[in-house]
Amino acid sequence: MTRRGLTLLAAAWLAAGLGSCSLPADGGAGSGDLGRRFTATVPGTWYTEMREGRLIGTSEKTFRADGSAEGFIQAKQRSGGFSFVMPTITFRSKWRVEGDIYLSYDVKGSQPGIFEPGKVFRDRILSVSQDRIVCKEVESGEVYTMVRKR
Amino acid sequence: MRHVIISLLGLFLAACAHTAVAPVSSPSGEAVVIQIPGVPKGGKPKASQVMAIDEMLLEGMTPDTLIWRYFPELEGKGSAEATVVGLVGETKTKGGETICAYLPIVGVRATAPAARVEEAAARMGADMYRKAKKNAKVYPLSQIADKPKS
Repeated sequence: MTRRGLTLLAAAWLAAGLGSCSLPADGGAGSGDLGRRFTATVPGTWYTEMREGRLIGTSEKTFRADGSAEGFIQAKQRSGGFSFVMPTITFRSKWRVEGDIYLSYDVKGSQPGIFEPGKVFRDRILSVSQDRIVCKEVESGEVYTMVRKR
Repeated sequence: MRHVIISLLGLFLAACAHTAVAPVSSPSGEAVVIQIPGVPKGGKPKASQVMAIDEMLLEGMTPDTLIWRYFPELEGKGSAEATVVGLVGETKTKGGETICAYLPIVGVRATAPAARVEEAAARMGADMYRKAKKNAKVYPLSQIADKPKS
């Protein structure tokens, strides 16, 4: 098999794993099962990175079993050997799970105007493992990965 | 009057080095302006007045102290430099005060990975905020009523 073929196959596996709610990482999950596994696994601190062109957004979020969470977000623009780093925004929020949807709400940022008051963020849980959780934003369709911070 | 310190260009020169810039910002993640004292309304600051603020922000930052404080892993095998650039202009605060304001941005160059230099620039911006608060009048951007007239 050519190198290109291997790359295409890997991309297809990855798309299937991320894009299908009915095929979680270790199989066999019905509706709400991913949500229950998320609830049991997520307490702790997780790191997320999203990139769009030269813009890099990073976030750390600590989830607590009581449904509270806190963390920070930071944006930076990197081009070659130069970066512009925006100030770090801290936040507090609450979280809960409904079926296989993870909700963030009551988000309060350190800087006014960053988070819309009353907004509820809904993310579909795609896969859960001890150190890696993949979700898809319901509103934007953006898929992102949370990696446990040790 | 717009005043930009060209020394930032020197930060690009070294090979294997990364440069990051970050605004001096408050713990809540807001960039801040520093009032330049002794400038009459409608007047322009002297270069020495702006440099006095730069010196206050950079006080104690030698190449050696930069290394041990922000890049300890580089001790004996790397280099780091920092500078401050900024924008100057007259503006009005939401409290109705007209001030000559300086928006400082810290620039850091070091022979370190991009993420480390970015982290150092962000930390330095926060450290400079604490210095500025002790020595000058500082206003978060949310307390500024209009765009500075330079």
